[in-house]
Amino acid sequence: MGKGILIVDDAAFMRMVIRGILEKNGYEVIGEAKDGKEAVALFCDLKPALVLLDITMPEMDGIEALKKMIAEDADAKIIMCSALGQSSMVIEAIQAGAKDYIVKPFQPDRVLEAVKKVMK
Amino acid sequence: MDVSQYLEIFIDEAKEHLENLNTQIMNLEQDGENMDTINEIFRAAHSLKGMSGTMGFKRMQTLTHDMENVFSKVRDGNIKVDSDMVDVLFQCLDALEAYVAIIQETADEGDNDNANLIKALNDILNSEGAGQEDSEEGASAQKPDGETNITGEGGDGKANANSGADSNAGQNNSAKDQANADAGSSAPDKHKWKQIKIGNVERSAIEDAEKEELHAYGISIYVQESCLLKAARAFLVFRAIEELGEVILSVPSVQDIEDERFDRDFSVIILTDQPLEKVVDAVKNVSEIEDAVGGKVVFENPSEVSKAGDASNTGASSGDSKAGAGAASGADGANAKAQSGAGKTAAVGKTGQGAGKPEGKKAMGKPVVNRTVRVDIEKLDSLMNLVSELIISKNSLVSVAETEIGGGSLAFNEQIEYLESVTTSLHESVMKVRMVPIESVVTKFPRMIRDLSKKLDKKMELYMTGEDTELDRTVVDEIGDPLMHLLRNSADHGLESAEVRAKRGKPEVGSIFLDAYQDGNNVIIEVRDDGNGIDVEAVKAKAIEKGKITEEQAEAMSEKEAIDLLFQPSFSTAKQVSDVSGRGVGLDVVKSKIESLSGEVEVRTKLGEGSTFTIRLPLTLAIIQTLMVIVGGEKYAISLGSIQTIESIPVEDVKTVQGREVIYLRGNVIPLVRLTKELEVESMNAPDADLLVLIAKKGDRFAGIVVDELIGQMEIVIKNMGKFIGKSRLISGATILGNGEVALILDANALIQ
Repeated sequence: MGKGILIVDDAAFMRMVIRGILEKNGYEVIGEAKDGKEAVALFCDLKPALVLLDITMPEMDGIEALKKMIAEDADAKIIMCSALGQSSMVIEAIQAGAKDYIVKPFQPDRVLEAVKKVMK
Repeated sequence: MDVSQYLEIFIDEAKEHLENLNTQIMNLEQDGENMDTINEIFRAAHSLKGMSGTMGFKRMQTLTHDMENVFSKVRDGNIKVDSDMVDVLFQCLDALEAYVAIIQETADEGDNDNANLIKALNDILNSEGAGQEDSEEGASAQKPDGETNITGEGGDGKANANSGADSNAGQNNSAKDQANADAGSSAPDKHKWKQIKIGNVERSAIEDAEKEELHAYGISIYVQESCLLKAARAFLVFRAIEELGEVILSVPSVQDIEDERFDRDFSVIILTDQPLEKVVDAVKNVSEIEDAVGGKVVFENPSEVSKAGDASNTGASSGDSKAGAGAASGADGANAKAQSGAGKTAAVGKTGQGAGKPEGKKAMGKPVVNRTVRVDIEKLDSLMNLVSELIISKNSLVSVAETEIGGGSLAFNEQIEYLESVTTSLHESVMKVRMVPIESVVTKFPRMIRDLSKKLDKKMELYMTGEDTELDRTVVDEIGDPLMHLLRNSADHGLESAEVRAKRGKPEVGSIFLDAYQDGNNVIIEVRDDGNGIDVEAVKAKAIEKGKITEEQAEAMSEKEAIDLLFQPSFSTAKQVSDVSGRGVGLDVVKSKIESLSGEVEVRTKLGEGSTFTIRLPLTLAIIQTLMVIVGGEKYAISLGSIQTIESIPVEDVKTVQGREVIYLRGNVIPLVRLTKELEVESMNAPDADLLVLIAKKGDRFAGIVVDELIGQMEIVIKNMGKFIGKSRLISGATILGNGEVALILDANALIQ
């Protein structure tokens, strides 16, 4: 298991917000990806300690990316980033092995709690 | 959270999404079934919603949320796309653009709720016949069957463990009283699990398990008030528990929890070989769990039920495993759901995506992280400025080398040459960084033409090529309005009505073309239509009517000159002032805008066949290649782009035609422009010396610019003249030369009449 966090979201704005929250609290962000394909490739490459994974994305959605990552590393620590109303998708993700989820718009405390608990 | 630092990227990205939405909704109208398009739209709306929510722009969030809902129904095939819907969606985009514009100015979204649009969207949502329930609920409807099956198989049919409490009430043993003892320490009302009615099947399962050294615990779990997507949260709790043991009962039922039909707490009865604290800790370690309390399940009267349990020992134990599976199958349930009701979205979404985007599009190799960096244009401007300074300083080194040292040191000259090539490359690189495709401007045009088509009640189609042509960012930002004006002009004045087109044997649908391409150091953008063309006589008549020219002048006017009238202020030949164009803001605005960008516009037209407006723009504005000349002892720079050739002409070859000096060169009659006369200075050359003539070209017109002396080619940095010097027709700016001297830049275009 490597170090640092991989952020996956198709919106650069969202990546920036998450990065801001994490870095301000001493976490290291080692990569960003803007779709599922890129995310899986970076995941294999960087072996991040944690992935923050958006669900709705082009190329390959978060659920599919999650499954690929879990197939690569069954212990992968992945937190889904979802929006309200994506309940069933979040549940699908959890079944597939996601460790936690956070809901947009992000509350920094919530993000940090999830990250802290999952990385423990 | 302080989000102000993200405002800029928010605005940038929101604009990108809106542009994308514009394009995609156009596509949607063409092909309302295209899953790629629908997914793309859904994603963009979804992203916008998340972004605006994060920034705290509630109104924008609400609007995008409702739009997303509509797209989601479209995606599920519950709503069909029609023209009215597209109209509403476009209005929504306009409203969103307005929000972004206000945000850009005030960092706040303003207070327009756009209630009419919200209503229109909801009307669309409700129009689908109310038959379709919310997909999540639709899925849940099929679930109870499955559940009954599970309990039915498990034991004696009557024991619906969760909701069948009433029918079993008589036989049920309440865990409540018995558990009092060990719950004494913590607040009793928190232990809601004690109120769980344990049915016979579960009871015997528990008693069986206890024989195998397993413990039965009751746990009540409280999620935080702020928790979102509680069902998923509960699901995580279940998973945490199931890593340690088995859930045999839950209140509310697994199904209700999954459908989020619980307030803030739920309780479970579990079987595990682990100590209670460990399970409770595992639960508490799930995020957003406020508290979890638990205790051991103890039965007071191991009475006949127990026997019954013994009797049906095998049945019961299988029942218990089923019950456990029942809880666990919440997962499967969700899965099934994903396959059927709500999940249709996911499934369809995936297929659409898979089909539309070929796998090989992007190799799965090593992607580069962050291939782009967003940079404030001001930073680029200052970089460009520094490069400019460097070029000036290099130019002065060159001039020093030429005079004082006089090329004495070979090494020095070599270094100067090297410096020269480095600064040129540096300039090119910085320039490239500033280049952006005109795509960002032109993508909104198809939508505009669509609106115009409806408004003017003419059928028309816009064809665009070369959207990837790049121009300096500052030019791209400015070019939108002139292009929009030309397109409107084509749509309104250019294209004929359907009847006229039919009479002329033209296709019913009018065509407007927007082509962009690079041509040397220029970028050409052409707006072309297959409409009526410009009626030169009508233009002349109008000009006479407006008192701009006399009838005699009109007689003598060439077609070209007449068309040029169109570019004069407040000239419109539209008989009716329509909503679209002809508001007195005419082509003159287009022309002055283009000229302020150092570009030029020209028109070619053929009556009855159509017109072409050609815009020629320089690639960059800040640094240009010029020809340095001397006129009357002063140095001037003339943009090299406009100069075709340099000729030496004997004085006797200069002829006079209609009172103007001309020369005859390679089959062309070229009017002469003596700079000494234009600039009102004395020539230093003898009157009978050969003339040094720069042949300049603008469109298909030529002029011979007469100068005193040539210095050579030079890359110069354009500085504007400042506010104190009024606008001069001939001078487009100034530059600092290597020796610190200032030279004026002559606008060759202005010299060509």
